[in-house]
Amino acid sequence: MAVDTAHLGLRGLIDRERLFDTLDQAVEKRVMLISAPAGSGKTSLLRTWIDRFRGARRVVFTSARDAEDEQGFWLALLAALGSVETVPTPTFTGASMAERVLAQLDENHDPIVIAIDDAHEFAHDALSHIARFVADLPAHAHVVLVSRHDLRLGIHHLRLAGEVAEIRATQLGFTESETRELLASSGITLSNDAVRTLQQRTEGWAAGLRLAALSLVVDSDPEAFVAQFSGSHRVVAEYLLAEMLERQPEHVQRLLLTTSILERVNGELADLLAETSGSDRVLLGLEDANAFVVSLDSERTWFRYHHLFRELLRLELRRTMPDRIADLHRRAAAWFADRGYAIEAIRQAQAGGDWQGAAWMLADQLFDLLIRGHNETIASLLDAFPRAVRLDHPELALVDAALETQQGRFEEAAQHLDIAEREAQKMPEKLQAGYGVGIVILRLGLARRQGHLESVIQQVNYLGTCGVLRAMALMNLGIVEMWSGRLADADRHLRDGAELSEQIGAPYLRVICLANLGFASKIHSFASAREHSERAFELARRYGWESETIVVPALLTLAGAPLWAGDFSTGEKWLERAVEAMKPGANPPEELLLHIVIGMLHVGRNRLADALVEFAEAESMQSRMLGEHVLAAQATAWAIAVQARLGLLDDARGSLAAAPAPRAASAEVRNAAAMISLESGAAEAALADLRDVIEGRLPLIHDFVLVEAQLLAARAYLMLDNEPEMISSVEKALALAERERLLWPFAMTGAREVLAKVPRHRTAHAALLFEIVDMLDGLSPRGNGLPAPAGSELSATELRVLRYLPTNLSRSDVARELYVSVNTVNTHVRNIYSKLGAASRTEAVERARQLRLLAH
Amino acid sequence: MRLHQPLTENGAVRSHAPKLYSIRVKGHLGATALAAFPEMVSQQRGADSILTGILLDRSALFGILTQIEALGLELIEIRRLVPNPESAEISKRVTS
Repeated sequence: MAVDTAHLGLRGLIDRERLFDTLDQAVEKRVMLISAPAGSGKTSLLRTWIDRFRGARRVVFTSARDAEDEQGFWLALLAALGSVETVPTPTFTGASMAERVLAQLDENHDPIVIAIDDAHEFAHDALSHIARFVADLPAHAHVVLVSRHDLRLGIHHLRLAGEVAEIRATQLGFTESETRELLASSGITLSNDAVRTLQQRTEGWAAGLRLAALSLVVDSDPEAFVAQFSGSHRVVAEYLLAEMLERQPEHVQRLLLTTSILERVNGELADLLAETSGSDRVLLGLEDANAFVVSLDSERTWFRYHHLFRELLRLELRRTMPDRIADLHRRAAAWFADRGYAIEAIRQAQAGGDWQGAAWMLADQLFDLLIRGHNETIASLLDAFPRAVRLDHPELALVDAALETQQGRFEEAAQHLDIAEREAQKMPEKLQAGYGVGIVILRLGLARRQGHLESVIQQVNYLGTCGVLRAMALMNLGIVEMWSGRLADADRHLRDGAELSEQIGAPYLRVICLANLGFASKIHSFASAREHSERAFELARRYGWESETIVVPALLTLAGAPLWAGDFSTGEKWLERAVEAMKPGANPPEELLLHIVIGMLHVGRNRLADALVEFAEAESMQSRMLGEHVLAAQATAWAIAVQARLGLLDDARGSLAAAPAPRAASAEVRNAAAMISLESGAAEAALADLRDVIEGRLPLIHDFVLVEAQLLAARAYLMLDNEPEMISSVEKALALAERERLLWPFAMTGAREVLAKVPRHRTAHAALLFEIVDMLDGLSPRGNGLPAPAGSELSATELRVLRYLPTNLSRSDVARELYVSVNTVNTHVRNIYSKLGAASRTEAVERARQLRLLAH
Repeated sequence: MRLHQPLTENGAVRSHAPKLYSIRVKGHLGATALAAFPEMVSQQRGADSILTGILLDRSALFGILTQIEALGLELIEIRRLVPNPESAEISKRVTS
């Protein structure tokens, strides 16, 4: 837990001015590393130093040791930084939490020091998040990392930039005068010789000196104590601990030894383990005596022991009462379990060898832990069971299944669920009901991620008609209906789910329902889809979930809407957030949508080869699902169409032939077939491909399929020199596109040439037509200053570029032809437009023809 | 730290065989500290202690090193012993 600086447990510590000066200088750097062995006095130094400038500077003190896991660490840090409460979610990632802390740091630009103690306790992944965090720190923030050994942070660039300061063991060692001061603070006065001897024997090691002080303060002959100590070769800590324990009353000794099995202790728990009473007073007394006991909260109810001290006590316990240890762990487990500290309870049960109890507790607490995002902890608890025990305890199969589902290992998850179900009757009766619900919920989640409608419908029937289970049922049902293309049912169920979630106070489920409702409600309109998605995003933001995977569907809807309208830069911004929040592998239906939307962006930016990769990737997601995705046919169709446009006609025909039967007959894939025909120069065949789509004989997932078909037909009529039909097709496409602003299909179908042939006076949608042409030319509407007077002379290179403008070559094609970069072409095109007073490629060509710069 | 791996006769790397190690730390280890190293035998050599034992693999070795770190002991030397009659005797004592 992170503590504010008002409570630092400073009893009995001395101010080490010589080191404070060093720290004052070091903290001006971005990172200060304090790296020294256990017991070197790192934490004490840090605490006294921080205490000195309390109030003068913002400081946050955290420890990797106090948090249950990485999530706990970041949450505590966020809370200490004054963030609004962040509620953990099942899809917690350390990287996203680090981002959130960075964002929080940007809120207030007063200088701040973040001290992170025990950084060596971070797991490898957590440490890499810390390293990124440090590298991205804003200038007003400084981090102090305290560790027992050097950390592999990969911050060499910071080191080279002089942004790293280091404090090491030699600097931390107590000098003679500091030794004297430390003893004096405990009321001990020794001769100069004895002080020197003590300092030399301990080599200025802080833990040794503090242990010595604890004995010296009660010893009748301190000088003799020092002499005897210096004559011994025993390891300093061990010698002094033995001496110190010997001088404690029996009940204190017992308390220290029996509670050494705990990460943290309070009076009640200590009473239980030491079979005594009044332990709280003993703990307070030990803290006051600076006896390696530190309170963790301002009320001083929870305490913990210094690592080294606890390690020695545990060894002593193991040596003196080996047969009591298992029992102590089990009693601690029961105490934690009764008070709802699930993770500590499970850990203690495991340490006590109570595998049965630990397994039941873990299965019982699984959903609570999952919904609070403790995935990593669940995995580590599961790993702590020996292999043989895991085979003996089918309830652990439930835990395996949960983790595997989240990692996208669906087959393994299904197998583990089968085992769990088969063995359910072995559970004690009182646990069976909850266990059964657990199996159903996991099956639902699995079926949802695989888009398996029948399985969801079957499982939903097992869940009740009210409360959180009903909300989960509606959520799962709605989502799987949505991916199955039953958008009306999906819309209804997700609305009900969102409403119920609100009534029962389950914001997490509400966000999921709303985030998906956006996509599901596209049948009504893009506007309502956007509205739902914005609500989902705002709600998620309120809980600090805006970069969690649960908002991905909302982000994709928010990215899709501007892409359809031809606003690619806005679409790209939302898409970037979606890509960042998406956890690859775990949710194929969502990932299919993600790749489609990325592909759409590439098409809009005229990067067809990149688009092909994305559409093909989208299509491949279908193979990980059990039911047909509503957009699977679209992914196939656009992949084929892009292949055709890239001139990969054989590949495109192969893909078309390989499309499974129902998909091949869909309107989307008919359009793709027409594209192949067009690109092969077979205009009549293209019109034949399109007939069923245009005449309304095939179901359409959305109007855009029809817009696309009309544009492809227009291209065919252009090839056949049938101008009236061509204009009529374009007009129908424009009319359909107007309502929802479906500009993107014009990019997808390569309709640029067709549009150039439509006389402006022949359309009722001239404004839209202009807008589309600008989009296709990669231009924002006129605005780069006033056009230069027409006829300003074009340079030789501009004239060369101009020659390509009447062709259908894209700017990158032109760049390739001229062996220059796309940026260069863009500059020339801008200059050409400006010199000709044109707003678009067509206008530029028209003006150039009038000026006889181009032949007709 | 990358430890040298011996080659077997046919040239394959043999990395998983248990190996005999001797680890020197500063100071004499008493009964409490020794409880941290149940798999090792301790001998006093001058002001130091030498812990000797057969370690299953590298994880076991790093486990010992972590324990040394946790106890704040000063590590002076680590050696992997080449099998010879004397160490065979030690390994017998360790495993018996």
